Amino acid sequence: MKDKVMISSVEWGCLIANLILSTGVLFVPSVTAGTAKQDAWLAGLLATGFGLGITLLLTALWRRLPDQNLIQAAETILGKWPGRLVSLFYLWWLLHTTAAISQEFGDIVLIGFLPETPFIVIILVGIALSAYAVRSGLEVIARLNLVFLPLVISLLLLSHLLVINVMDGKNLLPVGETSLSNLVKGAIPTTAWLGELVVMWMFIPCLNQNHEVRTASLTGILVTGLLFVLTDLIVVAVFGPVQVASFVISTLNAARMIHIAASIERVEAFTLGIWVFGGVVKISLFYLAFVYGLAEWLKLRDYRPLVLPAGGLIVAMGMLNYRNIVELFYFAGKSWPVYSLLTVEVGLPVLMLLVALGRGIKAQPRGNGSEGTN
Amino acid sequence: MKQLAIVMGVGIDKVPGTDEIEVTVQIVKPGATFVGQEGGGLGGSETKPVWVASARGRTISEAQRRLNLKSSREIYWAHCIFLVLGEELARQGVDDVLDFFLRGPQPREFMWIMVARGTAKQILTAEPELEKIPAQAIGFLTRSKAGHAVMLKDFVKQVVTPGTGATASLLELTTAIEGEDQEDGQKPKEVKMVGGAVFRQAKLVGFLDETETRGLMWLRGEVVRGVVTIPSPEKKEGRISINIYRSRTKVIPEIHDGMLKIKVEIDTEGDLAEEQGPDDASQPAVIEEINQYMASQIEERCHLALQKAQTDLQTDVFGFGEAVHRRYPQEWKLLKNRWEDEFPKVPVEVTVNAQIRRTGLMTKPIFKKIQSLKS
Repeated sequence: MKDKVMISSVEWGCLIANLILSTGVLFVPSVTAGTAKQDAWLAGLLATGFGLGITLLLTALWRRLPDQNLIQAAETILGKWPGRLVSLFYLWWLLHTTAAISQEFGDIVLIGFLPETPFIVIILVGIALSAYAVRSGLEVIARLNLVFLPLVISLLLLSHLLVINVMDGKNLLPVGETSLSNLVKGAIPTTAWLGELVVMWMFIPCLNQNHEVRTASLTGILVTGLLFVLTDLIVVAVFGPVQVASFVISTLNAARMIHIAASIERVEAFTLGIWVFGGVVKISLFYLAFVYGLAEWLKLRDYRPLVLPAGGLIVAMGMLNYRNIVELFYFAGKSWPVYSLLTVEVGLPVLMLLVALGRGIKAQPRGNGSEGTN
Repeated sequence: MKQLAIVMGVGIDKVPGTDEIEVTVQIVKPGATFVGQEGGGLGGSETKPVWVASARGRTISEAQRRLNLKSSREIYWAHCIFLVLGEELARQGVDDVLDFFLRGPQPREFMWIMVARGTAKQILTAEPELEKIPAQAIGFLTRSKAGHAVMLKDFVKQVVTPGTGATASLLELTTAIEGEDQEDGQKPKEVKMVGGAVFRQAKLVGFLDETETRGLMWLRGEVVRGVVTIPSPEKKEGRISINIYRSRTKVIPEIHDGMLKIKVEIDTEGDLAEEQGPDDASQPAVIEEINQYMASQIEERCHLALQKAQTDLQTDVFGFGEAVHRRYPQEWKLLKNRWEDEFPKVPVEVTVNAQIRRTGLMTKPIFKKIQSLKS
C-alpha cells in the first residue's frame, strides 16, 4: 500500500489529544472515584505518569522503524507469520474497540439528549460521517482536528469554569487518604485510555518529522492526562466522591449543575459538543487505523474499498455486541482496560521491543525513503 | 414545546395505609405567560396561571404515567424549581423517592429540597400571591438566604456521607398578614420557611425552629445575610439590630491525648441597622461593647442548635464528623463506626469575632437627648 499522506508533528500531537480526550473525559471521574475516592485526581496524576511511560515504550519502537506501520513493524520484528498473527490480533482489537466506542457514542446521545430517537439513526449518522472522513484520509482528519480540538478543549474548560460557584473544595479533603494500591487500581482505566496512543502506530510512516515523534507524543499525552486530572478535581469538588462514583457520565452531571444568574443554565449541550466534535475524530481515527491495517495485512494497494464494508461491520457490532449499557460499561470500565493494557497497549509492545533489542534493530534518527525533511 | 406540561414544583406524600405515594405537580398553563405580564393592566385575569394535579402510584414513574392519563401534555421535569416532601413520607425515609430525580435526565440536581409540615400537597395547592406562579413564590424564598435552603445534590451528599446528618428547609402554610386566619377565618395560603428538617440516614428525625436553624447556618458557615438583634448595652429594654453581610466559619477539630474537641471560629461583619437604645454609636468604645454583645448573641444561637442536635436529635447536622475526617484521616477510621454515639458527647467550643463596620446614615441616636431631658 503506497500513500503519500503526510502530517506534521503538531497535527500528530493534536490527534493524540482528541483521540483520547473525547471519550475519556466524560467517564474518567466516575471510574476513578469509585476506588480512589476524593483522591481521584492523584490517581489521575499517577495514570498520567503511566501514560508517559507507555509513550516512551511505544516511541522507542517507533524510532526504530519510522517507516513501518504496525503491521509492517510486527512482521519485521517478529518474523512473517508470528508478526501477521500479532497484527491480526491488533486488527481485531481495533475493530472491537471502534464498535464499542460507536455504541458509547449512540448511548450517550440517547441517555442525555435524545431518549426517543432510535439507536440505529444515531449510530448510522455517526458512522456515515466518520466513513466520509476515513475515505478522505488522514490528512483531512488531521486538519479537521485542528479545528475540533480547540473547540473540545474550550468547551471543556468553559463548562469547568461555569460550575465554580457550586464547587466545594472540602469535597477533596483529606488528601492522600486512599491507599497506594487503591490509587493504582483507580489509575488503571485512565492509563488504558492514555494507552490508546497505540492506535497511532498505524500512521507512523505518515509523520513527516520523524525525529519529533517522541516530543509530539509526550506533549499530547501530558496535556490529555492533565485535562483528566483537572476534570477529576472539578467533578469531585462539585459532588463529592460518593455521588461521582455512582454517575454514568459524570462530566455531563457537572455541566448540568451550571446555573448562573438565572440566565446561563441548561448548557449541558456543551458536553454533547465535546462528545460530538471529539467523538467523530476519535471514531474516525480508530476506523481509519482498522481499514489501513486491514489493507496492509491483505496487501491491498488501496484501503478505500474496505471503508464501507468495515463501516457496516462497525454499525452491526455496535448494535449487537452488548445488549445494554450496563454490559457495555461493565466491559469498558472493568474488562477493557486490563485486557488492553496486558495485550495491545503494553504487553505486546514490550515483547516486540525485547525482540527488537535482541535482534539489534537500532533507532533510526531520520526517516529514510520518505520525503521527511530536516 | 407545545406538547409539554412544564412542572414548576413537585410534592410527594405517603398515602396512609398503603404502599403508594401521591405525587402532586404544579404545571404552568399553556399561554399563562401572556396573561398580563405585570398584572393589573388588562383587568387582571381571573384564572390561575397554573394547573395543580396529583396521582398515586407505587413509584414516581407510575404516578407520572397516571398523571399523563389526565394531562393533555407530556409531563416535563427540566424546569422544576423545588421538591417538597410530606412529613409522613420523610419520617419513613426519602431515599426511595429521590432516585427518580437523580436518574432521569430531566430533573436538575440543583432543585431545592424541602419538607412540609403536614402534607406536601397543601404546599402545592397554596396560592402565594406575590408571584404569578405559586411555585416561583415558594422556590424564590431561598433567594434571600434568610432561611435554610438546600440543593438536592447537597442533600444527597449529606445522606450518603457516613456519620453526617442531612437537612432540608421546613415549610409551613401561613397568612400574608399575621393572625389573619384566626381573626377573619381566612384560609392560610402563603408559604413560609419556618426552619430546618433534620434527617438521619434519609429518615426525618426532627425539626429545628427558626433560631436553631440560624444557629445551624452559622455553624455550617452558610449565613450570608441576616439580622442579629441584641439588647442595648446601656439600657436593657432597648434593642439594637445589626445587618450581617459577611461571615466566615472555620471548624477545627482537635485531638489531645485521645480526646476530641471541636473548635468553631466564626468571623462576622455587619452594619448597624436599627438602634432603640441611647447608646452613642459615635464612640469607638460603645461600638466595641456592641461587638461583644453581638458575638455572644451569635454564640447563644449556636449553642441552641448544638444542644438540639447533640441532645435531642443526636444527629451530626453540622458536618463535624467530616471535619474530623479531613483533619485526622487516620483517627477517623476508628471513630467513623461509632461517630453516632460519640457526636452527642463531643465538647464544642464556639468563639465569635463580630465587627460592626459602618453605622448607617447616622452616628448617635437622635432621640437620646429627648429621653435624657425627660428623666
